[in-house]
Amino acid sequence: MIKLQNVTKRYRNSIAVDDISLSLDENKIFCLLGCNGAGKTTLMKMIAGQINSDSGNIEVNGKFVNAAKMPCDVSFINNRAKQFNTKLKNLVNMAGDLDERFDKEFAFRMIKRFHLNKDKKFNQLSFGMQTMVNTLLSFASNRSIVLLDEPLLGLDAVMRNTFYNLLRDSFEIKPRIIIISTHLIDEMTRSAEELIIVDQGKLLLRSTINDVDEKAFSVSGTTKSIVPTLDNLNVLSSKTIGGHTTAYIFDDRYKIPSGTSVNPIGLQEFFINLVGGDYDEE
Amino acid sequence: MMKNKGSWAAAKINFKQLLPAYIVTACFILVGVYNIIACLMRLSDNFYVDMANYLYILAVMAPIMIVSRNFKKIMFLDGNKRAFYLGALINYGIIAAAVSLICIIFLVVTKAIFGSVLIIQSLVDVFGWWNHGIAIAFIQQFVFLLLVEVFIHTLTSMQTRWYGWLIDAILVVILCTFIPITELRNLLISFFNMIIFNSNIVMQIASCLVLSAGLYLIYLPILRRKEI
Repeated sequence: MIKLQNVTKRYRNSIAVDDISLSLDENKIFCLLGCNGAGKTTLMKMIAGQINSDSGNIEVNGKFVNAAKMPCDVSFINNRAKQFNTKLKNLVNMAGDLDERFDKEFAFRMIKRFHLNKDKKFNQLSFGMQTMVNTLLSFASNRSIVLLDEPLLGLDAVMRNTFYNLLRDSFEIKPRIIIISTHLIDEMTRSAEELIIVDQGKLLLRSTINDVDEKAFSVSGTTKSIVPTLDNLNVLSSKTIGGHTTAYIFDDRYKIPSGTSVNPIGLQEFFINLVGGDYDEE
Repeated sequence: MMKNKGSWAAAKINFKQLLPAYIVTACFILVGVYNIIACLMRLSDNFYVDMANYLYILAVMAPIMIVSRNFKKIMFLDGNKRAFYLGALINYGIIAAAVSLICIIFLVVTKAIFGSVLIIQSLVDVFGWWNHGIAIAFIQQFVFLLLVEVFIHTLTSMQTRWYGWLIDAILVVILCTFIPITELRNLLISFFNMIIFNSNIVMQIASCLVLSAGLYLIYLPILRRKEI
């Protein structure tokens, strides 16, 4: 279980994480979304105890977490992490020696599945492959919470597909809390169950993928017919060109007026309108 | 048991990941080999610095690399700080023991073979430990090396924080001001007498061990606060 209470983190003059409160207590795959610099990595690092928060409390499985008390239940390997420049098989053995819970067999199976050469040194791998190695080390850690920071960075379509399979397999073998930050939003809907969206350090939205599917849509028609129907609704953004208006809505109370067209919107479009639009959490 | 296993694993990883330190040490040892050949072939005077003394370089470089490079990478493998803390201590203990033992063995062998033709200089001799017998010399050198390693380890770990720079400045100021002023210089001399040239063997060993323990304890809160 992860519990954040009013967590704030500042870097000099900028606020990376701004008063976030959040509780994750079910074994699920969570998708953490946010623009660059939204505070995703900072949030993950704080949950892993790699950095301290400036204020607020973080609990993992009932224990307070900070840099002095790094939780042993969390695996967080930054995907840009430069590992020891040694053969992959040595890296797996090192990780296995450091923690008895580490599943070497699973790691070697994944190395084979991703067509990685276990005799290749870490620095000899492409960026995408290095990312994959970091990801599979996390999965093999067998810890109850796995945090993956942009694990799809640098992966081609085939490798991404293999990653999603790995994610599903790993979750089936050991259900746990997996938080994945990514920019490939639509693809993540295949695996993730819940969405956590942060923007400028603030928690913007937490919702299930199904909820987004059901409540998020766009409506377009003449401004006269659209605008009056939007009152009291959760409007993410709206655009008016001439006399024609398109509004992006996240609400299930909308009554479709005649002469308007309603279209479902994908997760990516939803995210863009939520973060880039005039969304008001209230 | 699991936690101890992690410490040994961290120590094992550290030993495997000290290649630059091994290479630099090996280069200096090669200089030592050249030195003994040159002495024997009368290419230079017959003053020979025991090549095993160059192993001190390993004892100096190892903590720098362990702290500045290996720590982060062990954390990247989901290692924990406790394992690293104890693991590094295992490294320093083993390195100090190995270097001390090799220095003693080399000195014994070199003196036996070349003692009559060369003037052999070794730090064990210079520091006066040799006069106390082989076993005691080994222990005295071991505790001194341990202190050196722990001191460098703790000092290196501070370098990313403001107080590290402050300590550096204080050390420089101490050296610069203590040496020219007789009273202060005497203070400095008595400190080095205590940890190196102490005629009281027990005192020398105890002071090195106490200082090592103190310095490594100082490192504990630094490590706990360390962010990755």
